[in-house]
Formats: sequence, structure tokens, C-alpha cells
Amino acid sequence: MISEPDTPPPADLTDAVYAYAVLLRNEAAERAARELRGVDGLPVRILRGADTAAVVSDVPADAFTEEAIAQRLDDITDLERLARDHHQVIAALASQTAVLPLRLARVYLDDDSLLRRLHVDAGYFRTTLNQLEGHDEWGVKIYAHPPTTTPPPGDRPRSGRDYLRARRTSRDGHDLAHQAAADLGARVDRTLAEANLATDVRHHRPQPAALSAKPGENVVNAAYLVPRKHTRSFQDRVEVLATGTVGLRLEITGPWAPYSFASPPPEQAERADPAIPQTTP
Amino acid sequence: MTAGGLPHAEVALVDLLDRLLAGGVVITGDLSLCIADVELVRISLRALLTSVEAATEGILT
Repeated sequence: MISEPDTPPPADLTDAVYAYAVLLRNEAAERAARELRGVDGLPVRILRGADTAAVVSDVPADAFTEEAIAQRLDDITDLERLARDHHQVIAALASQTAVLPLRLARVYLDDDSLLRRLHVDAGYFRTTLNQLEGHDEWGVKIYAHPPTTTPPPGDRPRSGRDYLRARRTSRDGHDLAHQAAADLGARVDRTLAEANLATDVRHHRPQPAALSAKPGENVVNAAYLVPRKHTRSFQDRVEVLATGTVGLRLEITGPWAPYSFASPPPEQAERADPAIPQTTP
Repeated sequence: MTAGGLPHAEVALVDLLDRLLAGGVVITGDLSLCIADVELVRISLRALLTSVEAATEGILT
């Protein structure tokens, strides 16, 4: 007697679905997506729901187990490659249509698993994508750059007391610069809201000093959702606010796809569709 | 900076990770991997910091 193996074909065992973004169904964007390469250089395809679609790649499941992902993130070269591959797909689509980027490294068992969520959360996706249409995200980072209180190179403190005195002076300067940076950040928030140059704002955690290639301490790390037609006014207004400030450095980054505005803000998350929690279980 | 289109210049990895790890929508479902977001952030940050330390080691000593 010949017994049929009751395991599914190998393809079902080895493939998983890596998702980049959700968008409203849109022929031009879908065509563009099919030309792209995603994580690990893999082809990108469109997974169509009723009126939304997910942008995905088929990935070998064993390259995206929990352990494999942790290893990738732990290696700067692999981490950077994964982040840039993911971003490249999203950035290319964001220039075509409103996209809702997914967080890094979302890997689903199969198409059905993701399609079910597209269906259940369709209302949230539709509403959010309509709000994001015609908007870009812009980053504004403000660095405190305290007046030079540290001795010039080569002039090292001669004693412990010298060192402590220098530290104290440096700390006072640091506190002032820090406060000035926070004040400027608040002024930027207020001005953009009052002038309707930004429709939403998120504050990211300041970046660790070690990660900034330039001097100064990052105090404000904000993201603004800016109507595309106001791009120039937004930039001008922010630059004017920063002009003439002493000991501060302001940096604008963007335009970004609306990464920071894809999820409900933390304080609204509880009231939002419970199908989209802030963290995975 | 280009208005409308997205930039071709390479973005800073640290700015990108702010967005990829703290932003982005989280769609639950049958995820084949269940690494917690807080772990994603922790591991990535450690990798970033380690790489910066390695790069500046020669300068600081």
C-alpha cells in the first residue's frame, strides 16, 4: 500500500510573508511596487484585500525566525541592510500614494493571516490612509550645544579639585543649553500648530549622544505631519525660529513616509480599534 | 531637500531606526515570529552603540 505523505508541500513550510506597508488599492502604486526589491533583495508583490492592499515579500521562514531576527538586529551591518531594504520599498511607494508603513520585521505565516487582519482593520486603515494623503513626515531635531566650558585639548585638569570645578561649570552651562533647546522645541510645536503648517506631531526619544556624529546633545527629536503644499512654509518657519539662538543646533530631516503617524498616539491607543494594539502579545 | 518626492540621499540610520522601531503600524495576526518590540529596540540600539564605540575607540584613547 502506498501511503501519501500528509505533510504540505515544501513551499508552504519554508515561506513566510514579510510585510512593508498597507495602502489603498491603487493601480499605479501596485505596478510600481512590483518593480521593487525588498528585504534580502527579494521581489515585492501586492496582496490585495477588499479596498486596501499590503505590500509584501515572500521570505524563507527560517531566515526570519525570532532567533534569526534577533541575530540580524544585533549585527550593525545586517541591521542596517534590513532597515534600508525595508525603507527603500516604503519610500518608493510613498512618492506615489499614501502609505501606512509597518514596523520593522513583521513576518506573517501566510497570506491568509495578513488578509484577515486587513479585513478586520479595514476601517482603521481607510481612515488613516485618507488622513495621510497629501502629507509628508518631517523630522526636527534640536541639539544643545553648550558654550565651550571644557578646557581646550591638551589642557588637562591638574588636580581632582580642578576637575570637579570644571565639571560644575560645565553642568550649569549644560542645564541652560538643555532648557533652551526644550524651549525652542515647544516654540516650534506651538508655531506650527497655530499656523496650520503641521497637522500632527510625535516626539521620539532623544537620540543617544554617542550616535550623533556631530557635537551636542539631542534634546528634541520631533516628527511633524506636514501638508505637502506647505512644505516650503514649514521649512522657512522652522528655520526662522532657530535663527539667532545661541548654543543650539536645529536639523530638519525629510521628507519621510509617515512612519511616526501610522499608529494611534499612545494616549489614544486604548480607545482606538482594539485590533491594533501598540505591542504584539 | 525636495518637496513632494522622497529624498534620494541616504538617510541617517539612527533617524531611520527611530521610525522603523517606534513608528509604523503594528498589525497583529499569525506572526511567524513573536519578538517583542521592546527587544527589537534594545538589540538594535546595542548594535548601533557597539558599532559607534568600535569606530571611535582609536580616537578616544
